[in-house]
Amino acid sequence: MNQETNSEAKPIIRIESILKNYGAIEALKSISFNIYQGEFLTLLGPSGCGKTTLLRVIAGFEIPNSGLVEIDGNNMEGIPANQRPTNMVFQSYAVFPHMTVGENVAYGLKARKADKQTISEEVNKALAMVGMEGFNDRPSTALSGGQRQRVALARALILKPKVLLLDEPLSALDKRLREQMQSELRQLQRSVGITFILVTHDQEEALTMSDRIAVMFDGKIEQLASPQELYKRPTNIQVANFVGTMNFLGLDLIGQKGTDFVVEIEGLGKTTLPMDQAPLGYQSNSMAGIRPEMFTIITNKSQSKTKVVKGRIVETQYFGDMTYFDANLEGTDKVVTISMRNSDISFEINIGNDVEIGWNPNSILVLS
Amino acid sequence: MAKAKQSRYLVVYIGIFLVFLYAPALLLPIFSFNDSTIVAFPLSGFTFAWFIEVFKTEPLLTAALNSLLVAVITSVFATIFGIFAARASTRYQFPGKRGIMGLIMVPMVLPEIIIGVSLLVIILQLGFNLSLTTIILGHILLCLPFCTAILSAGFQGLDKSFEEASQDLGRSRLETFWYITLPLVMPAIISSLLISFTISLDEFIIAFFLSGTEATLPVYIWGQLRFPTRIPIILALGTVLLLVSLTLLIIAEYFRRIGARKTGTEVKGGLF
Repeated sequence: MNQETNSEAKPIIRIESILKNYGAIEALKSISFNIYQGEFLTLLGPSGCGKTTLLRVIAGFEIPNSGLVEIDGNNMEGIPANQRPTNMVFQSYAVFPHMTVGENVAYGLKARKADKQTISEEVNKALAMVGMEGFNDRPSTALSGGQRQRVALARALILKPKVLLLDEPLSALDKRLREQMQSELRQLQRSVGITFILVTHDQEEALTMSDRIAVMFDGKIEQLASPQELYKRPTNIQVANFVGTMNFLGLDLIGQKGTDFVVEIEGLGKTTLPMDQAPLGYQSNSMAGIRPEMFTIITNKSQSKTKVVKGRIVETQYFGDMTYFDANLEGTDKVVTISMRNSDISFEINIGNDVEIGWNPNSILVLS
Repeated sequence: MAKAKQSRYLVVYIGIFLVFLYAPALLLPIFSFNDSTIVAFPLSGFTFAWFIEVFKTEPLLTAALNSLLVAVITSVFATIFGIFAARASTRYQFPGKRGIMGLIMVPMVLPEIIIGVSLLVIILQLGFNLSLTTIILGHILLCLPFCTAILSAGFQGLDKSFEEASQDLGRSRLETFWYITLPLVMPAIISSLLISFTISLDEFIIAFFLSGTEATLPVYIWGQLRFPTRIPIILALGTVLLLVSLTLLIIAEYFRRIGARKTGTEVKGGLF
């Protein structure tokens, strides 16, 4: 779902000025945003940033000190977790150990006093949806981590919630299973059409899975945008640092030419930057940010559209498809990270080599 | 070399320790099968007569029944109160929590004779008659710290997200307690029931102070020790009680370990 449709759509969740304190600690500092029907939204941030607290406020496990949570047009104030149209997949999965897989999945429908026939049909459907048909009578203690997660998913989805909340659901899985589950979760979300809110500290996970990402630091949402937008145009240093790798270079404002800034960038020299490359304008603590892949080590003279600086390679890291180079920019002690696709490198580049590094003023961001 | 020597001393030490610990208790069953009213070596012959006599002695059976009644009621109430205390101490924060939990645990270290005397004084002052009920009240007080300790361990091992998941799936707090919390801490509850039952069954001092005309088994045994001819019967009875207590303790520990495994916590501490 893209931004245009969002602005017309009715939000499934409206969060307004949510404040949550634990004693003197402010866990959530006046958070407001909307989540739209069918969206896959990720709350991304380091541990302790309040993302799980925010999820638990939506689920009804934490009561905010002030502010409004509206789900599908209904104010959730005073409504306990068991009466909210949300369901949650817990970080520990919380698959009930004294029940079979089938009993676990049926738990919510039994609470709703559904009849036996419906329960048994729905349980089979839900298990099939997560690829666990026929596991009904397995004791849940005999499941692997990945299977437990699927059971937790089936158990939540069987209730057809308006919103599914996922609290770091993949953090306990090993890397391969995690990547497999990422794409499965994404497909599942598309096929059921339910709004998903995922909490994670893993920026790669957030980028690959989400329609939109809310980056949280210290109880506040710093930026709420699509993965592409977040990566290409982070609004501040904190976000840029947390999402992907970013080189930061010192920046001095020399003058203004119309709507453009004339700046001196550490190691790169003087250049002109359009205003829209400084999302928050120029401030005294502003830095120039440039992604590693926006630098090129020039191996071919025809790549002359870009500006060029000299540097010396001080470190290389080989990743099969990519190589990461650390280069010391000439005339400074600044070291920048450069990533290159190995298929674009036409000669060997070793530590100690002097190279020409190409860059483009378009790829510079002014961040504070 | 030095190490081997050291471990030999250790083995000797453990051997002596175990003999002192268990030899007196083992004398009980040995003499209960001895064909003589005098408790002394050498043994004169093998007999089941004393055991048969146990089951023929009317007042003894009444006392045993009283003890059973007291122990069952005590264990049920001590465990129920223990559940409240354990739940409160593991899930909720409230002012004075440490102090309150400390006070609940105090009877564990308070000399029973002090508890017995003070309860006696209070009950008489309040004008109640001594009966099995007063013994039960004393036993609940005595058992509560043990039950609370066992149940707290059970509740502590329970991941909070099980309860949250249940609420999230549509169950109220009360339903969640019934469908999720109780079954998951059931092993701790069973072990609390068994341990308080065992403590109450063979408790003497408080029962001695608080009993009226109806004696419990330990109080009855104490009374019978005045008659030398009755001693072998008491030994036979003691053998039966020893077996029952041991069996109950082993069952209690078995359930505690199952519980620990169920909630995924490491098996540690406890009685064995």
